[in-house]
Amino acid sequence: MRILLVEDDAIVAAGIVEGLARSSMSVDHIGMAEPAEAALATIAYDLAIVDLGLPVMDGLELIRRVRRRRMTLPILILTAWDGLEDRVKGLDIGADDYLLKPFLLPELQARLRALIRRSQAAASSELIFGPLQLDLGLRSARLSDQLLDLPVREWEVLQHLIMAAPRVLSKQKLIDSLGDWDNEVSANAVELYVSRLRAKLGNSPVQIRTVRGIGYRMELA
Amino acid sequence: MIEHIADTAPFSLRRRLLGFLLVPLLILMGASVVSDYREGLSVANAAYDYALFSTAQAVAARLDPDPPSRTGSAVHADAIDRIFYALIDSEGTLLSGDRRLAALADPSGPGNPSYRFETLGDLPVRVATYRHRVEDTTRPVTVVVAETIHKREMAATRAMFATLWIDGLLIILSMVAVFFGVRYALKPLDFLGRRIQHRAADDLRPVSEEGTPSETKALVNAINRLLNNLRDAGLAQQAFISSAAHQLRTPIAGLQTQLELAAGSMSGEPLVRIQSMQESARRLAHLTKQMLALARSSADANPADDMQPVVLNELLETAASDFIDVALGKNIDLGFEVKTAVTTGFRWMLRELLANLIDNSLRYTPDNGRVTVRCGTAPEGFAFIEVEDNGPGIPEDSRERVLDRFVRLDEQSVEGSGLGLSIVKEVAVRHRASLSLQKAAGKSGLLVRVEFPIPEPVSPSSPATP
Repeated sequence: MRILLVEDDAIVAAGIVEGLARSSMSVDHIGMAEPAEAALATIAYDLAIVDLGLPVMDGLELIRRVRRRRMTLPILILTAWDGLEDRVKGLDIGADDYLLKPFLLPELQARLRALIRRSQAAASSELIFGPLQLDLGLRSARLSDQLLDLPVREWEVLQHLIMAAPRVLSKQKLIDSLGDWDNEVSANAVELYVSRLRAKLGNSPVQIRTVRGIGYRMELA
Repeated sequence: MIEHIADTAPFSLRRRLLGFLLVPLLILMGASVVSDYREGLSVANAAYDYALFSTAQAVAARLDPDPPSRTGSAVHADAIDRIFYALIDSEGTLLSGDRRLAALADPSGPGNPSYRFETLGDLPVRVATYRHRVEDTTRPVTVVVAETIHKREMAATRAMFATLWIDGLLIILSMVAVFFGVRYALKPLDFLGRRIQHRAADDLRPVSEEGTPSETKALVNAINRLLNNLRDAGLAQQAFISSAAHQLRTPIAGLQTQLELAAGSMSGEPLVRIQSMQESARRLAHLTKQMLALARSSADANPADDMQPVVLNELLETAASDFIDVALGKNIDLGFEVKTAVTTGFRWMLRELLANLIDNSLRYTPDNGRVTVRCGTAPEGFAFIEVEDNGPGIPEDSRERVLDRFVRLDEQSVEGSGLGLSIVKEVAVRHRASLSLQKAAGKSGLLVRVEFPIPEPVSPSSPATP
């Protein structure tokens, strides 16, 4: 797992490098956008963290150029600027997520893992969440290498919950994603799938939490 | 209740107008009355003078060889005035008639006959001097006829009353017309003044020129320039605060991250110290964030025209993801009751409002408590957001105060910036929503309810004047 951090503040950068190293993510740090662009072109990074307020060329320009070169690695914007326009612009340009400073390391780690998970799913049709492995092609799931017996709907619920993590996925969105032209999925049905999944996940570190009134969240203990 | 600006202002356009119109009007009217009267009088006098002339002619005719018949040359006499006559020859010798009158003859007067007002004895009379050439002779004689002026005086009085009555009425009607004309013609000025007065103190939108008289356009333009400058100043101030707060965030992030890492490899007393530092850094971060939110939620930075429909249920869903971990950290049961609700406003601000309400409840509710967040549409048609907890609540007498900036009820126990509820209030004001702090349903706790205005039906013809 190789990550490029583009951040001009030395202390923040040092903190991130060290913090992520503790979760076995190796981070290279570059303080300016231009050399960062060169580095991204040369080395196959799995993810880039970009600060927007860089000297000379700013982070947004860097992201624009990266996407123009058709580099598809996930990009997390890390910034002090939280205006709605900034957020929207950043995501429009091609970033995948937006995290504000100051932040907590666990939050950063969770977001990075989510981004990596999604890009891996796209690249290798495999979705990994802790000990849980989903094969997107075969539509199968393994928990600590044990194959889980999952009917299609339950597998789909599992997939959506993992893709949404660490965010809460609302029941409504789940219903909307599961239903197709022929069969509408009801709220009760969703509840049933989730309870069955819980049973199958048992005491594993992977758990589904109910958020009263909204929906569910996939958690890794 | 309409303010009569003209009544109270010491210097009034209305009074000026009234003054400049009425005084010349009165003078002109006065002159007209005098002129009408004199004209009337002069006409009457001319008529009587002509009658007097006939009398003079009749007297002269008697001297002619063939005096016309008596009836044709009757001396005009009536019951009202007395007539005197005198006949004088070219040397001034009285030929017949009244000697006194002969002395009043005026042979060199203008015209033939010439008329004058004189006094005969103690009687005021009108004297006509007529120079006549007797037929068949070369002898000029001067006929002097005088008449008392009672008839003329009566005519004068009649003329006076007639003129006064009509002209007086004319004057009064003109004054009334001018008075009301001025009062109503200047109403647009009153209206403009009221419009400006009734604006909210923080409404810095330009004053519309619609419906303002062209004379005040310069004034309205000046006001709008002023408002513009105010707005720019406000924006500049916000830009500065915003910039400053943003700049603070990176060093705070550095501090927090380093402390996090330090705490990870420590224990015992140094760890406690580090944790205190972390606490402090957290407050610093929180305060900066709140300052920013408050600065950016002002009216100038957010013109009402930019409001968009916002689906409140989506905001609650996002909030769930944002706050579930905080709630779990204190083992608080965070739940939601979501019904469809839509309002018009600024999404980022409503997000701040919701975040601050939930943050507040989570902060002040002790461990193992319960916080419920609701949104929906009331039967009356307005959208609402509610956050209810079972924490200590807020005593009724503090509920107003708590919305002020930097007010916190209990400094020591719980960390907070004191700005949270101020932000909520600011956003509510911006959205013209009502904010109420109530007692929660259970044994204790706070319920904060935000009710948004009922959406107005939009019609294409509704005017946009501020």
